[in-house]
Amino acid sequence: MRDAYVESLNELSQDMIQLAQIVETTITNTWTALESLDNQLASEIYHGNQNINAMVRECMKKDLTISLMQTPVATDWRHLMATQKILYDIERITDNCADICHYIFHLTKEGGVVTPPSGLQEMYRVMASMVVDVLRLYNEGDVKDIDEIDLICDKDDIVDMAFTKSMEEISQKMVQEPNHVRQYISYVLIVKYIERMADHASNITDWILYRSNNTLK
Amino acid sequence: MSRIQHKKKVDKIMTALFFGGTAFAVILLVAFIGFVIVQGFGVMTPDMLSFSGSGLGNMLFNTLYLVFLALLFSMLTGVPAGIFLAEYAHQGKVTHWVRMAIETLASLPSIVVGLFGYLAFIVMTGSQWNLFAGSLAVSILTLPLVTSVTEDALRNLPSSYRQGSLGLGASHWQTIWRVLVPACFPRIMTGLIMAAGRGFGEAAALMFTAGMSTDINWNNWDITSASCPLNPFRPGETLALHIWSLRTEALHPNAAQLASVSSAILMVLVVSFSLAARYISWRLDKKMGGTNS
Amino acid sequence: MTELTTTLTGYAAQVHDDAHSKDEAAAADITQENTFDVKGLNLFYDKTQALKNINMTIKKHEITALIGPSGCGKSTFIKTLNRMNDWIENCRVTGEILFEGRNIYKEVDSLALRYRVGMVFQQPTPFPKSVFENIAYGPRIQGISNKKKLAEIVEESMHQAAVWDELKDRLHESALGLSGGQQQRLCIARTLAARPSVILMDEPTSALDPISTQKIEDLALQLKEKYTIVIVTHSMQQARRISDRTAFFLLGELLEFNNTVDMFTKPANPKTEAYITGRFG
Repeated sequence: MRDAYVESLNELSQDMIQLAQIVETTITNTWTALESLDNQLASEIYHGNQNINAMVRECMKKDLTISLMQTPVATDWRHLMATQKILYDIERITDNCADICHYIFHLTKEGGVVTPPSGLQEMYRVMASMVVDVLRLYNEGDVKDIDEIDLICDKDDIVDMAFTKSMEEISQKMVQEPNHVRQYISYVLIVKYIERMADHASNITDWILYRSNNTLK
Repeated sequence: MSRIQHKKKVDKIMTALFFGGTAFAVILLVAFIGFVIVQGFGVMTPDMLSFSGSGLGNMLFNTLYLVFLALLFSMLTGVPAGIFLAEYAHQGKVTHWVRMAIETLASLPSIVVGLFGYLAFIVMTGSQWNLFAGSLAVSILTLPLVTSVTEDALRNLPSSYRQGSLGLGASHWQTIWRVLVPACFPRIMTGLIMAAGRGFGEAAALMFTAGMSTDINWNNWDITSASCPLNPFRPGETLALHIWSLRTEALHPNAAQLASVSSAILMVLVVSFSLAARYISWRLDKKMGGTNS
Repeated sequence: MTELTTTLTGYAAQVHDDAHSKDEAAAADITQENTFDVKGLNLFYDKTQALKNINMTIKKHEITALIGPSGCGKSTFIKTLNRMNDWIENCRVTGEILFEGRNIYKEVDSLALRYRVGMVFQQPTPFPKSVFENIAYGPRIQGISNKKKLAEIVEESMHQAAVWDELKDRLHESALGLSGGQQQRLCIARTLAARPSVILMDEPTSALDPISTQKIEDLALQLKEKYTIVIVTHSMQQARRISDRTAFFLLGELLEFNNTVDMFTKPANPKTEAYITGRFG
């Protein structure tokens, strides 16, 4: 029954799966660009962000339309409301990727390459795994294992600690190498964006829990 | 010709037939009434209407009085019977037989009812021919009509009247008395009109019950006396009977004319009664707000 | 200590609300707060069982909605609350229904019950009488014949049903000349005039246009301050708009009974979920 309604929900789910794949690819590519300071790649990612935003907006629009026209309740309602919130976080995550790419330009432009903060790769890796896992959990449906959610929240704590450590390290380096202050400021912003991305991934878990259990932390 | 044209032609023919049939019935009625009235009033002289001797006034009074009593009896027995059948009877064998009995009663020949009335109300009670016996006989004939009209009227009411009343805490009786019966009042009135029509025209049933003579003294208001107009236990010839006796026994010199005038008066009576009752019914309908009658 | 008290009170409240509370918990219920207590109700039409083991409580000053597909028993159930099923032949009822603590089959007279538990039906059909007489009918059958008193009651009921302004100049006109929405509000005034404490509504707006429906829903929300309302509705949106608690019936059983917000956000029973999301009809 309500075939058109069910059809529209399935369509939205398909779109979300596609979107998740694109986000994963973008995050991977952003690291590649950051690690090797590849301007070309960074430029592609930066300019490609508006396409991703368009996709996100498209999904939001579909979500809103279904909610308006079909008066969803119960699971459908929680799913649609959660998806709306999660789409916002996804948009912020990809925007942050573009922002990181922007600062890759700055790093190369300012000549003199500096050493990145020591825990950068590890921090990025943890954050990337958070995003990939959380989107997988979203697309899987009902939460089967609460431990997976807890793991993501724990990883958020790890990223936060890594952020604090990086800030300390960069501050010291700024004192030691005052002529490279501009580059170090770029790195400050980059680790800040990484920390924000982890935060957004953590927010997504809140909405996944709401969708499953009707609990709002 | 094409299908559609054929259909249209058939449609036109049938419509014409329906109109024609109706027109025929109406014309027949108007012609019949017209003929009788015109013929009757044509030969009328004022002394025919007098309330004495061979005048028709007394017969007219008897007719009205008899029909009034007959309606009273039918109403008192028929309406409760109708209410019982519609509201209290369960769908079962007993109701089935009761209904059959009523239908049979409706198709009894009036002359048979008259003879029964003679036996039961005259011979067995040892009385003279009287108006009361006549009205009882007529009420037997009209009883099935009143019962079935009442029952149908009640059954055709929206069940929401019943539900609404019971839902407010009314008992079954309160519902019947305060809502259902008042709601079918117009239809019951119609049933009573039809019964009255029957009563006006009865001759066979009254022959051996109401008697063939009338001896009323309009100055005598002692209700126990045999010549008091209001005493129902006196003989009372009605107009219909009078017509029959005039044309068969023919004692009067102007019997034929008297018969014509009687017929005319009877016709006028029936038509005006019908119209008056319809008017009352219409007024009641309006007061209750245009029920679908 | 206060923490313990809070926990215990919370637990008691939860048990109090739980639709499938066990007997021990049921005994702990404070019956004066519940307008109706239904325990183990079964209803049979001849051999067919129309209601199976219904247990629920209806609370004072709340709107309780009954939803479910056609033929699920919700209309049959609501009619047991004012014993309208008594009028149906071959209808048998077992189990217990308590109205304000008293068994409605053993301790309460059926007519007196209907004075306290009024009903509004799906088709708005006032009696073929004047507006005034329609509303005065209830008090009249209760024995009130004083003209002044009747006029007072009629006016008060019409105010409560929000029809006074519209109909005060038409009191002696026939009620059958009113529009559908006015007629239904008239029927509500008629029910209120009998001074009930509960108003049962059996799909009261299904025959009405959206604006009349809205007026009646607004009315129900106002009335719940003084009355207890139970409403059968086939519109789940209506249930969501106005009810505090909702009961889901299916094939004669009460499958779920919960706060409306909780039931429509996360129903406990998968069949409830399937019904309210329209996955089956």
